[in-house]
Amino acid sequence: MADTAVSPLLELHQIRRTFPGVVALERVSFQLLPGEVHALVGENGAGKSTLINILSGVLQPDEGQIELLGSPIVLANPVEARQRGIVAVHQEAELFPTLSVAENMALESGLPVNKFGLVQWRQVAAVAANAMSQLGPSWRPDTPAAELSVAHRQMAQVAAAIEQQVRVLILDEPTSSLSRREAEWLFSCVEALKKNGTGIIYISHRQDEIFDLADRITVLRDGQHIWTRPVDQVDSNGLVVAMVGRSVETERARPDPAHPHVAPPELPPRLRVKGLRSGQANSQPVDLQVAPGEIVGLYGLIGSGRTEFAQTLFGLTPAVDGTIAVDGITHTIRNPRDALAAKIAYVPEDRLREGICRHLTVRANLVLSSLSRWTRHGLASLARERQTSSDMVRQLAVRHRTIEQPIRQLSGGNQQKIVVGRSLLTRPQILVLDEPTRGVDVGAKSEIHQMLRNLADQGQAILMISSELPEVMAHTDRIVVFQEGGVSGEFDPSSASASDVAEAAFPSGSGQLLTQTTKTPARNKLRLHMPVAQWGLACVVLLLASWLWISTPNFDPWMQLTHATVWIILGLAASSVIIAGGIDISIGSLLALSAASAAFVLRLDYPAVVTIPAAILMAASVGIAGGLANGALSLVGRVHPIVVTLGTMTIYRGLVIMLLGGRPATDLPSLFIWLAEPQSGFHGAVLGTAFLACAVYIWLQHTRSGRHIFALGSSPTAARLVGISGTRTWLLAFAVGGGLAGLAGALQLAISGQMQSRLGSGWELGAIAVAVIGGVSIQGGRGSVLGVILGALLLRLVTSAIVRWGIAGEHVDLLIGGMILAAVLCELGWQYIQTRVRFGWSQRSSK
Amino acid sequence: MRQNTKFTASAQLIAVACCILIGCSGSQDGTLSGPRIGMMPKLIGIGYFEATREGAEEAAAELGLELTYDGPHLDRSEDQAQQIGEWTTLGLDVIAVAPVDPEGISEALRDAQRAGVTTLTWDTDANPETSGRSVFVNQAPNEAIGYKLVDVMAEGIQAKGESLAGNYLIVSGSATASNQNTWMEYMKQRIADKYPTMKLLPHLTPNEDRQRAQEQTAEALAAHADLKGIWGITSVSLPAAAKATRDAKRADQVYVTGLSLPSEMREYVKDGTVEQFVLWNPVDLGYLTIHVAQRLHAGNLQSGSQAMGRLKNVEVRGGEVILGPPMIFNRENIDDHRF
Amino acid sequence: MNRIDSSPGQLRRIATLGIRGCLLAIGLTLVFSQVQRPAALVDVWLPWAEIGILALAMTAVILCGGIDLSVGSTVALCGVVLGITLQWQWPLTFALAATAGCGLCAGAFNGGLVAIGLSPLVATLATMAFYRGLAMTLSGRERFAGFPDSLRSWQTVAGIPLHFFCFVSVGLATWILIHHTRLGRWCYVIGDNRTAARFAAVPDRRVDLSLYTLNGIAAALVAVLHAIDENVAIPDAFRGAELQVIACVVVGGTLITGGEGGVLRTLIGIGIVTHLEIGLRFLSYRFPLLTPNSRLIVIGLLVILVAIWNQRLQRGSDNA
Repeated sequence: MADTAVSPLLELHQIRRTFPGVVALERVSFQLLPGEVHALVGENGAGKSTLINILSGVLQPDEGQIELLGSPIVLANPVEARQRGIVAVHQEAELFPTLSVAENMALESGLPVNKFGLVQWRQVAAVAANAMSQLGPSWRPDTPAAELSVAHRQMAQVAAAIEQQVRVLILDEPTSSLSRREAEWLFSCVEALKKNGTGIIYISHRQDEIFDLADRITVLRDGQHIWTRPVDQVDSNGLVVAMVGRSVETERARPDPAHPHVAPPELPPRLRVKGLRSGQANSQPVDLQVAPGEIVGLYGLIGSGRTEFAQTLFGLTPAVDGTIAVDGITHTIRNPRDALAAKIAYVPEDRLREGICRHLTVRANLVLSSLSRWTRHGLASLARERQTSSDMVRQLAVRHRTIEQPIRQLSGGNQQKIVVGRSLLTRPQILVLDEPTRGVDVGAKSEIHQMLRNLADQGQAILMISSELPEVMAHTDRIVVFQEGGVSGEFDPSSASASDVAEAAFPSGSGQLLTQTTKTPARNKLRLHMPVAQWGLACVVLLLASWLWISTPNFDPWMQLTHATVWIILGLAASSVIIAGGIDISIGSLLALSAASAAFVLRLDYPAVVTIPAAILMAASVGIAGGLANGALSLVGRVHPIVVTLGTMTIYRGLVIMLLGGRPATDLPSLFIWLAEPQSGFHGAVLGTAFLACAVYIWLQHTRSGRHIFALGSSPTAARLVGISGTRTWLLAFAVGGGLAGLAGALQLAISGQMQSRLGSGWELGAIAVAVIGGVSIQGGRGSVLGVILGALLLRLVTSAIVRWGIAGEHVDLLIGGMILAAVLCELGWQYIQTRVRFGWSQRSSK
Repeated sequence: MRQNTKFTASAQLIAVACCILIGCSGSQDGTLSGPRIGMMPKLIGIGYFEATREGAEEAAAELGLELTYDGPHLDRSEDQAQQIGEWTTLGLDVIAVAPVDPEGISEALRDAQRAGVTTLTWDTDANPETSGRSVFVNQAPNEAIGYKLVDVMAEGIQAKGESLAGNYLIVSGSATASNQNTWMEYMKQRIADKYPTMKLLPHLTPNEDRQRAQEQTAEALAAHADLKGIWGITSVSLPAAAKATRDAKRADQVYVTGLSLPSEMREYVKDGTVEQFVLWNPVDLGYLTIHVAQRLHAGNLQSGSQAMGRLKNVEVRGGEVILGPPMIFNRENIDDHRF
Repeated sequence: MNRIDSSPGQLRRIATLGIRGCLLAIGLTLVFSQVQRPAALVDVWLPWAEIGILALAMTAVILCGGIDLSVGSTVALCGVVLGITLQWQWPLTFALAATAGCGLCAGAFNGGLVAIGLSPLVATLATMAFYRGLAMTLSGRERFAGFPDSLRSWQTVAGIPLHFFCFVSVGLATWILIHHTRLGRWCYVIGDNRTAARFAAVPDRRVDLSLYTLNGIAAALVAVLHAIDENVAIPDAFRGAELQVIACVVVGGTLITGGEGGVLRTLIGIGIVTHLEIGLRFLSYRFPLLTPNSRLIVIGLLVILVAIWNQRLQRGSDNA
């Protein structure tokens, strides 16, 4: 099929890419033909991910050239790659958790818009429905992505990629968490794409898949291109040898003098686990025994349950069921402290995220888990910490300058050694290591292996999780294979063959799995989503309004609405920033500044017809300028917006006092005041606000830039991957927020007919309250205009009821605070319930 | 990196230069002869206290004094206390304060006195026992203000030929402002004595917030269809109450009056929402305060009725200096005043 | 690569320190060049000592990646509790215990909210309004004045203001806490990488809880000090004080996102903010061009610029 006479679709020439201290790719060349499935194989850290990232525009090569259809191209960002038809489905699917699946799919390729710039939601829904119809009946395009399982996230991404016009499709471990049936669906997709002439780069650890699907195979090792061969010229063993660089069998055959191999049978097991079940959806009871001095390898694919098992053992996720006994004593392990007390230590998988504190020193990172050992009478002893750290660093042969240098300056392997050293300092009897050699260079790798062997020789029981078969084969005494949440086999590496072990790990041949699909979360039962919360809010507002209406003789709905308008606009201002993931506490001052500048314009000696529009324009532009300043300062200085707006809040207030010269702004044109008068019959304030709210609604819901605000707030990383400009979107959110605050200022000016310099002080609290009560998530990415309007009305009606009840004004603060608390606690409780429903009731929700 | 160091070096150079400059400027001596007076309003940036500043500056120029007029930008008592301390170190001879809270600055005033500063209060009194202030410059006797507010309302309604019977509402500023509370006491007393048919509703305390005052008044207007009159007894509440009444189109049924500045009330007086209201002359109050401060410092403040500067009839008695009876502002005289 | 990195880091640290030193020098010069009655400076410093105590306690919270916007309200609430209990004729010890208990509860409530997963910003924003409302409601908006002499006699101890002792001991206590205890180490770790901390068996929720609780107790201490010094407890007091407190911490050089900073830096920050604010006010009396309002602008700019400076230069090396 792979006819060499066909001109290549994509060609890489001599690509080189380095990271600080590491060469990730060393002059790699690569060719992809149209209609070809090209498998890319290599161990973890061989450079596959870097290559993919370069192809999909996430990273740029230091040297070398990329050619698409014979012409050289530069892929500066993911969007360009996408526009040229190069689409990557990453292994750990980055999604926007608060957005719907359909929108997630559409954001991958850029939201479709019509000629007015409005998002075509029908098309988005149709495309998604089309893609999902192949996936099964349980799929609904409007499900928030956060509710999807890992497998479903990946499938959604593949489906989304297929829906696009793809020239080159990159699949990175697409089946690692898919069930057999789901995988078969994927394979049929791949076949269909091949027929259309799409080139597919396929990355997988599963040899059977590679041999079934691929036309050619390219092997990478340590950033270097080893060879590219048609699949029929490769056999399984040759592939492994090429990947590892030497034969697995030969390495293991080397005699190891300090190899106790099997622990003396009379020794009681150091660790005995019976029927342990993690909170994961498909977990099965696990029995395991580890003898002192034994290294047990836990092998399995990602999502097979090995990491979950280890984390349950360490108390990170509490066990549903089962017992853990160390040296014959049963321990209840509810959290990592219990585990450490039981002498179990854990070295996490993701070093950067879970392992190290980048900015802290080597010493601080080392002694982290064992601080109680260096504390006497509650006081930490720096001297003893230093002594111990130096000893440990020497023992582990960490290459470093001083133990007081930040750990981020160390190379990956040395960082890993520090994390291991941290566990060792807790003096564990049982050491659990999750992928201890991932992303570590070869030299450090063998040092880590040697270290583990030495530890075992000292009598510790070691559990090593790895997805690299050769590593497990060569460096363990026993291999326990995980698959689909439970143990699928146990092997002695000295006698078993690599393919037996692999077969136990891959859910391939085993017939009973054919019927099993990945469990669908029971989400259909509990689909009370935000709309319901909003309905509840609406009901409360209606009830309160009707009660006030009945009990008040002269209830004037227009007046109520007029007084709510400022809060609606200010709430929207706060929301637009919060949805993007920021916060602006200067909007109260900004409102005053805009109102002051509007008043300045209004009092100029021109006819009111001229000054009124000019004043409104002025207020809006002052607001936009202020908002932009907030956004830009936080971007430029990389400072949290709360600090920046804390500063600008005082600055804007100072400007207000200067602008007004201490006097109130009075004698505004009566036409301007008439515009906002509730009894004028014109209802300018209400109409204007309604118009504005509609505009904001359309912007947020139906334009690209509005949706990008949600995307940015939902997941900045994912936003970067799909090529949304963080800078522009962030600035836009702040500018819109500022502009709205400015308009609220002009409106307030019209409603009160005059202003004083302390106007709006403390209002930021009310605005944030309105947003939060209206269901805007303070973490960003979620919120709606209707919710904010309801929030503002509720706040308005409650203050109105307070006066009705004759309660004094001091209770307003109490009420606002209580309402914010109630709103966020409800949101938290709701998230808690959702997590429980999705992952079972045992798992601890993570922050 | 090198650029950064350069930048740092230049920044430091500038900083040092600034220090030297300021150090030099600090050592120069004032050319004015009289005592240095500090005058502190409750807060800066509102019309009323800008008007008092005008009068104070006029008097300072007249007497050739060095005047410092400053205050917190939010009406926080602890800011005032702190600023009194700062003024003491600055070497001011007299400090005149309009306290936000009658008790909040007592200790600060005591400390200032111990350092040799003459202290007095104006506009609002501090607790005379705890604060030890020398004198209180009062715009008008509280009794007179309270009575006048009630009388203006009663006369206004009676002049329209209506009966006084009905509900009345007071919109105050903040619940902790002692002068407002005292006025309200006298108002209640006057109503009980002379107009027993007037019924007072629980008063509103919008916390000196213009928007809140307007909203709460509007709320009360809606809730009480038979409301006869509203007093707004601060410069913030009266315009807010007037605006709310006008918005509710109830100006012909509800008689609005109270205390405020002519400049803020002009439009409501002109369009008839408010017929008349009460105030003293804040410019004169500031003017008088400086004169009293100067005399106090010189030790020649005598009791009895006397002239101070352009004010011909000032009464000094028992620790209080009284500006004079409150004035009535209406359509005829509202344009005569700039404040 | 790794090894060359050291000298710019050193330079950067010196530069940062130099800038801080300059700011402090400017502030001090501004103040001292104008002072005519140096003895009275003590009265000027006392209120700032209160802010300083709050800033010291807040340093730990911010180091741990949190923030407490409710401190001002907590102080007011504690003051009201002290006033009420004394009005009820409780013995002084009981009243003080009730005040401390109030601070503890308020802080623990904040900490609890954060520990169950609320964003600290929102949680304390809500409690800021809530505690203020509680203070207003409990007191009926009335101030409490005239505290008993048994309390007021503590104003000076051996001729030195009690504030001074409290400030020094709180400074010392937080210094020990942050730099020499396990809890302090945990602060940095959690502020730097909360997930890693959890994987390293750091009890992050418990740390949150204890830090916010300590912050609440510091607020109670300030409430008592304020009552002793000013002889008054106002439910409206310390409105907006949280901003001054945060400004002190940030200007000192502690990162608002946590993980880097320290007590000494906060001490410098307190010095800078205090003296610059006072000094700028003094300056504005001399130069009419600098109206008192421009002080607001200068302080606002200072907070922003120093925060940017911190972020860019202290963490400058690793913006990959």
